[in-house]
Formats: sequence, C-alpha cells, structure tokens
Amino acid sequence: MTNNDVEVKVKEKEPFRKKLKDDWNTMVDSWKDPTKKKIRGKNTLMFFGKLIRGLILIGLCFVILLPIFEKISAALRHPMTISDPQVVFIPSQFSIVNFQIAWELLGVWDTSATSFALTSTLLNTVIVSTVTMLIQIIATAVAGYSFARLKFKGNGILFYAVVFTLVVPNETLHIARYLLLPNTPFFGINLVGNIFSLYILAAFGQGIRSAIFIYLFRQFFKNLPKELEESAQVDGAGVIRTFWSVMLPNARGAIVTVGLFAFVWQWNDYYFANLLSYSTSFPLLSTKLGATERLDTIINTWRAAGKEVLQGVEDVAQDPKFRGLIANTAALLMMLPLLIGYFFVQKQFVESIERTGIVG
Amino acid sequence: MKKIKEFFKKIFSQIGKGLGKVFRPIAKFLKMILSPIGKLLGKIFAPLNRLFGKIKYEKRQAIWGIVFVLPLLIGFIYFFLIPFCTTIVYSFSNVKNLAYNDETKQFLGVVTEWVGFDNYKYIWNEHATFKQTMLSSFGNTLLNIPLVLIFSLIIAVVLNSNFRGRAFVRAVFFMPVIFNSQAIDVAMKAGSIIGEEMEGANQDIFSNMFNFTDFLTNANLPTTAVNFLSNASESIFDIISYSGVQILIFLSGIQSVPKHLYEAAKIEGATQYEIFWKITFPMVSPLMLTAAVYTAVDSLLRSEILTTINTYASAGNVTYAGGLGGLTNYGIHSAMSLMFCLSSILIIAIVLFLLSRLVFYYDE
Repeated sequence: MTNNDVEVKVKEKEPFRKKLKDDWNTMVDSWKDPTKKKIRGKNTLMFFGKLIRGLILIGLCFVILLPIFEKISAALRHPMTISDPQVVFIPSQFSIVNFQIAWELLGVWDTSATSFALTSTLLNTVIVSTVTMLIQIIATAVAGYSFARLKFKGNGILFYAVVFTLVVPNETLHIARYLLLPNTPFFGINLVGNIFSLYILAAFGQGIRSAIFIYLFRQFFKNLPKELEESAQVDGAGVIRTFWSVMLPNARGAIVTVGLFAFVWQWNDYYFANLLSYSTSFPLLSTKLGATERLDTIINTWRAAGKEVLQGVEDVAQDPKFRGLIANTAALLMMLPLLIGYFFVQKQFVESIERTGIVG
Repeated sequence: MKKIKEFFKKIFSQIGKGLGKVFRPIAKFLKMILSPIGKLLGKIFAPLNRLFGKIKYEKRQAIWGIVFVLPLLIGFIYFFLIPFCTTIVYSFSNVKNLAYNDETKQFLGVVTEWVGFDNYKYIWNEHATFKQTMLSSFGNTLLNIPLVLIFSLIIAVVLNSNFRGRAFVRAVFFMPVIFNSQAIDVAMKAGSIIGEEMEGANQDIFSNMFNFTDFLTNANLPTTAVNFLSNASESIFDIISYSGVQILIFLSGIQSVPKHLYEAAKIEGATQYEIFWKITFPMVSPLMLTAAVYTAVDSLLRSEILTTINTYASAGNVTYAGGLGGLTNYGIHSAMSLMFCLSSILIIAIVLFLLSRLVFYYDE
C-alpha cells in the first residue's frame, strides 16, 4: 500500500518537476533572448526616465508654488496675528479682512464715485491692456515683416537700433523723458495726462518692450519659406496683400505669443503708467498698487463706518508689517484675473503654436 | 473639474454669441458706409495705382518697407533717440535742478554745466562700489545664460512630451512669467517683512533638515565646486523665474520641427537620446540666439547694478512716482547708465559670437 502510494506520488511529482524545469528554461531563454533583452532594457529605461521626470517636475513645481502658497497663507491671516511665531502655513485665525482692504486700496470696484468707467480700475486695466495688445500686435507685426522681408536702405541699421533699445533700461532715460514729454508735444498731442497716450506710443512702436515683439516677428517671418511669398507675387498680389493674406495668417503662433505677453506686461506695467501720469486721469490697478499711503484714509473710513474688525490697535496703518501684508494681498488680487485667464487661454495658446508648423 | 470647465465654456460661448450679435450689425453698418468710400478712393487713386504697378516689384517692396517702418522710426526718434542723446549730454555735465514745485509736483527743467569726462573719471576711479558691482552683475549674467538656456531647453523638451497632468505643469511653469513685474516686485518686497518673519520661525526646522553646503563639504568636494553648486541650487528659483519666456520660445521651436524627420528617425530605430541630439537640438538651435539675447537682456535689467545706478537718480525713492523730488548727481547717474549700456552691448555681442557657431540652419 504504502509503496504504491509513494510511487504514485513520485509519478505525480515528476511531471511537476519537469514542468517547473521547462518553465525555468523558457524563462532563462527569454531572459537571454537578445531582442527581448533590448525591449526589457528599453522599458526599464523608460520607467526610470519617467520616474526622474516626474520627480524633477514635482520638485520644480514645488519650488515655484511654495512662495505663492506662503503669500496666500499670509494673506488669509487676520492682521492682528501677523507676528504669531507659531503659525507656519495654516493661519490660526482665518479672515478675509486683508482682501477687503486690498480691494479698496486697488479701487477695483469703487462704488462711491459717480462715473463708473473711470473709477473701476479693473475695468480700466482690462480696456487698456486689450487695446494696447491689439495695437502692439499690428504695429510690431508690420515692422517685423518689413525688417524680415522688405529690403530697403538702412533696414539693418534701424533694426539694430531697435534691438539696442532693449538694452537701455527705462531708468536711464527717465529724467530726459520726464523733461521732454510735457514740453515738446508729439505732433501737437501732449502725452502726459492723456488717456490715449499709451495707445499712441504702442502704435508708434514704442510700447512696453515693443522691441522684443519686433524681434520675434522678424525671426518668425524670416523662417517662413520664401516660396509662399513668391507664389503670391506670381499670382499678382501686391506687397500689402501678400502681407495681409499670406504671411500674417501663417504667423498665428507669433501673434498669439506676442498678444499674450503684450497683455500681461501691460497689465503689470507701472513705469509707463506713471510716466504718462495715468494715475490721476485713468487709474489702473498697477498705479494703485504702490500707493500704500492711502491706507490711512481707508482704515479711517472703515472705522467711521463702525466696522469692528481692526479695533484695538490705534495706528495699525503705520505698522510696516501691516502695510507689507496689504501690499502682498493686493498683488495677489491683481494677479488673480491673469491667472484665471491664463488657465483658459493656455490650451488654445499651445495649440495655436502647434498649428504653425507649416514647414512639415 | 470637467463639469466646471464645461460650465465656463458654456458661459464663454454665450458671451461670444452675445458679442457677435452686438457687433455684427455694427460691422455691417461700417461696411455699408466704408465700401462706397473705398470704391471712390480706388477710382481716385486708380491712375496712381497703375503708375505704381509699373514700378519693379523690388522697388515697390522697398517703398512699402519704408512706409511700414515709418511710424516706428518716428516713435523711435521721439521717444528714444532724443532722450538718449540728452542723457549722453548729461553724462558729460554737471546737472542741477532748475526748479521743482513741491505743491504741483511740476518739474521745470535742469541746468547743465559742461565738465568733460569728470563724471566718468569719478565713477571709474573714486566710486566705492561701482566697479565691483558691475563686474559681479556681468559675471552673474554670463553664468545665467548657459544655465537658463540648458534648463529651459530641457524643460521645453519635457513639457512637449505627453504625460498626465501636462496642462497643469505647463500652467505652473509659466506662472513666474505672469508674476514677473516691477509693480509686483515692489509690493512683494514690502511683503517680504512677513516672509522673513515666517522664515525666522521656520529656520530651525528646514535648515537643519537639509543643509546642502554641509552635505557637499562632507563629501570632500573642493570648496569652489561647493560654492558653485550651492549658489546654483540657491538660485534655482531665480533660474526658473528667468526662463519662462525662453521655455515658450523653445517650445514653439520644437513644435515647428517637421514631423517627418521624427518619423524617419523612429523607423531607423533611433533612441530618444539620439533623436534629441541629432534632430531637436540642431533644429532648435537658431532659437538659441533669440533666447540668449533675451536672457542676457533680462538678467542685465534685473541685476543689482541698477540699484546702484538708481541711488543717483534721486535722493528719495521717487524715481517713478511723485516726480523727481530731490534730484542729485544726475550727471553721474547718466554716465553710469551709459557705461552699463555699452558693456551690456559688448556682452551680448560676445555671447552672440560664441553661440553663432552652434547654430544650424535647416533651409540653407
């Protein structure tokens, strides 16, 4: 009995062992197989590449986002708890007082004034940024095209002069400009205190960093194939027609890039708005941002209205920490529309760049 | 998230439709008015046009080129050249404030008194910090250019590949571009008092947890290498915030590389590494010049030397707002800024010369 049993077991075991051995052999074979080896190597490489890429991207995103989070967390604190040493990230006392004060400081929606359009700095900034963006696109595209494709005497010199303006900081020319602008009107138009002066400067190619846009457009038009232009010319198109119906539609990527930057830089601009004294005639968000001395009156009106948020401390508006906090919050508020807008434009923005690859 | 997106899409499309309804009749009306005027103008200018058509195409191009550039030229002369020449004159003279009305904040003018090269001699020989600051600023710029170029090229390649959360990462990487402005900087500097305080509270935790310099010195690296690496790691945020625009430039360059090149490389069995070095890099290399110029200009315009220069523009911090309160030593300010401009041109020329050897043009 017992012997038989053992034999059966051995018989059962043998194929199992064989199977195991076969499996092992096939495994070794496939392990040694050169093509499979290559595929495996590629896969592990891909995996580690993805891992490293993910780690680097997460780290860099962290580095970018950390200061912004710090600022947001500071902005959400109650002003009375600014110097609480125990707070690291999460405020001990949440409040939106800072945002309310910053809102009034920026004059985003000033309801007290009679005429609406001139007092809502948000609306003003949107108008100014949009219009200058459109004007900048047209003016710099025309100039860039002319530098890239239309050969005339002095073409190169003028282009290098334009590039030279990039290197000269605005501060250098500030006093000379400050003396020049009110004293010598531009074609009879006094640019200082004029609502349209930013548009005029943009139209004449002297907007915010127009030189960079001209450079970009020139590079872009230079890279477009010459055959495009020649075929248009053979078909009897003039210079303007060639530019407008052939070259410009192909420059969509450059147009979108320039438009985005023109908008953002105009939104953030501070120098031009102050030089042309927009702060009084047409207040913008950026001109109000620096004016922290208005805090006193704002807080006094708050107190007069009987709001009890900041009671207890007499001269809170003089406290440099409080001022810093409000400036910080106001900067965040000013950025918010741009960020929201960017999240929506972003996809379209990248796609339009992709579409321009006409070379392929 | 998707629902929110769809909701916003609906709203935006509704707004678009509404705007279209408003603007279409206006456009039609304008067309109705403008088209007869255009026809009339066409009839008036027809002989002129015929005459113009007889001119050679190249000449017509030249004429239109001048017409296209004319507004730029006028603006350039008025808004740049005249102030620039004035600044040159100032740099050779002793500038005194003529009159400044404190109440109206009106600046009436300046008196200039020719002193020759005195201002330049002063800043070069006697000024305490100008030379050192200038050298260190330019050194930083030269260090920044390769770092930013390599970093932004790598990031552009990574952002161009497909992975989960790409849209989010892209959005995050361009955030510094949006946050990058003078007004914001000023406001954030005011807010840095809080930041310092917060750092002071956190210092014990973070600095002990990971001290990069200590780690490197313990690894027996030479001190210069340690300094370089720790500086690079400290300035990583700066590098990121410097390189937003360059990433965009490279991204658009990579995306305009003809797709058939990549397909051919894949069929031939090239690895990703080879594809990068043999296709992407040469095809993107013309954009290196643009990116390098942008980096140089950007980091020069942010360098610390500008603060040294600006202390001479005016006594108080009134360079922008509030006119020109106590104007002092504007001659020295002008001389300094001219020196700065000239040397930055020199640097950019050197960079362009060095980089132009790397560049490969596909068409030619």
